[in-house]
Amino acid sequence: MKLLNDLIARRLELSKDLELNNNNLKSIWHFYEVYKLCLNFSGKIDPTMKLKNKLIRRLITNPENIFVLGKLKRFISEDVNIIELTLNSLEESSGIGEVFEDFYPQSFFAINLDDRNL
Amino acid sequence: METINISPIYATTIVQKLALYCSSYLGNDVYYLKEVVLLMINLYGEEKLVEMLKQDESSNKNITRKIGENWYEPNGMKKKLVRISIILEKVNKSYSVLYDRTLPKKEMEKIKYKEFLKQCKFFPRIENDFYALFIFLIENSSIRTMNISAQYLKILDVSKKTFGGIQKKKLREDYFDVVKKD
Repeated sequence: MKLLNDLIARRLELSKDLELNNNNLKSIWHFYEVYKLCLNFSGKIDPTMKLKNKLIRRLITNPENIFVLGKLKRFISEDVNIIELTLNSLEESSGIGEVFEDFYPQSFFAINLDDRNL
Repeated sequence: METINISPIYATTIVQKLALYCSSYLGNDVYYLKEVVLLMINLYGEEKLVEMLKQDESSNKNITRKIGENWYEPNGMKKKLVRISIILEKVNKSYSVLYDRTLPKKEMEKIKYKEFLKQCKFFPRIENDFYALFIFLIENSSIRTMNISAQYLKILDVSKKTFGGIQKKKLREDYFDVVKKD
């Protein structure tokens, strides 16, 4: 699945190119696009996906909504595991794991998205 | 399971569209994903795809088999794709106008932004099985071994940063050089 590897790597690269400190909405959007692909690749079901989609939509209409932002950040800290798992299983085929670690150090998602200094 | 061979011309088109999917966001990206899904359904052949979905043995078989079994149902993927296409066409249209920097009046931009926000409320309707279908289509075709070439990636218009190794400033200079020469 070289193509999927490439797709994930490119999206992660793109989020890195954005000014993450000021673009929470954009980085969250990118994160969840990658997350949805990983979820379906690994065959996992996320019962909270509908809620997350609604929260993202609320964030688009009101990017300053701290309540929604906080909730999504909490979800992200858990959802990062799925991305890590998928990337680990893809790692052997194309070395995507290296790309992931380059852009997102292991502690990256554990911290507040606002605190990122990339 | 049988692998569907995609001819080079279609493969290139698909990869180009996926590059656009990587380079955009806020629903405009999913618009390109939808284009890929629709093109690939035609390349597979609808009936063949439905049969393949029903017999899927991948790790996501619980979802993909259900997509295949319910394909022609009123709430099945065939109808869902029509609904998703309508939503994404509208999103793409409003997104394109919104990000057109040549718009002269700020007031005009405000109106377009409101229109874009109006379309955003439909995002949650793009359900997870749409992504499952996309993964299935890629996984079972010859295209899965391809790479997304940097030359297809759109240049980002975000804080002067570039993507795919192309420098936007350089491109602008080159463009003006050509204009001056003309």
